[in-house]
Amino acid sequence: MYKKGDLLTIWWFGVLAIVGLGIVLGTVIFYSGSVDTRKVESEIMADKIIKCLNQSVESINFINDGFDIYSECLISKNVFEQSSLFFVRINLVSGDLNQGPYKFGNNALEKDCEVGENVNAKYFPDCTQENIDIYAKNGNKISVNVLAVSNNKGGAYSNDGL
Amino acid sequence: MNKKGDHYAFEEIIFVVLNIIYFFMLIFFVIRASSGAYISEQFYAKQIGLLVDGAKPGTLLSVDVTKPYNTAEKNNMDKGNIFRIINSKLIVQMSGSRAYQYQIFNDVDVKIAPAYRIVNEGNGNEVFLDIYIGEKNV
Repeated sequence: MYKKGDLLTIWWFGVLAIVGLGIVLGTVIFYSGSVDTRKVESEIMADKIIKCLNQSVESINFINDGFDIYSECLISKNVFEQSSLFFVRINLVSGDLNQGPYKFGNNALEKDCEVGENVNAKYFPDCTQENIDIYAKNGNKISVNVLAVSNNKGGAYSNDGL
Repeated sequence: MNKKGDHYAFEEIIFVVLNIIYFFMLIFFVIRASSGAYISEQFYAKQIGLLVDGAKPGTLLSVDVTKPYNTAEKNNMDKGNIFRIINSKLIVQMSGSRAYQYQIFNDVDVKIAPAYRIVNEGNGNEVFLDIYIGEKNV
């Protein structure tokens, strides 16, 4: 038999608060999960650049000759220069001639990429490195090394910024 | 004696009613969170964003968007605004409260079809969104 005031005690409100907090926290953590696509995106970027360079094989000095990688490879210059989410590094070796590295985008991501490869770092960018040998019509072999880095996590949309 | 009993009964009723209200509030919160659009918005923004990034000019993408279409309809959202492209960002919005954005690096002209393509299947309609990837006019 309970007495008056046994039910609505401060302890009962404490129990309600603890149960409620647990359910709210659990739900929020579960439903705020993120889908990480940065690795796939860096692979797409590296593939795109490799294919594009393969098509431009005849211009071995292409970057020095004013080859515009943004327009030739259909990469958005604005996004690369303003968003700081992407980085691309290209090295070209043809015989004794070593060209590059040519860098585009946010240079800081290159270092982050090296660090991220050695440690399990959730907030570091994902990187893809691809090598390919392409041959010019005159038989010259050009070894191409492309490093593509993405730190594009997406997020809530706001009207300000880029 | 009766007065004391009434008082206890009153306290019991308040106790039960408060508990019921509280647990209904929790259930309501969990249901709202689970049917929320956030995960879907993120999923579709990234899926379509990657498709656009990997597409060449002249490509027509057709994406099954039945789930976001139905969610937006449930949330009384203008269905023409579920998928938008603003400043090379793909915006997906299925509820009035917020939207999800995903940056696209492919320098192409992305045209989202103004109307959805609704295909009548045996067990309900399937909704497709057509996206045309064209060359950007310089």
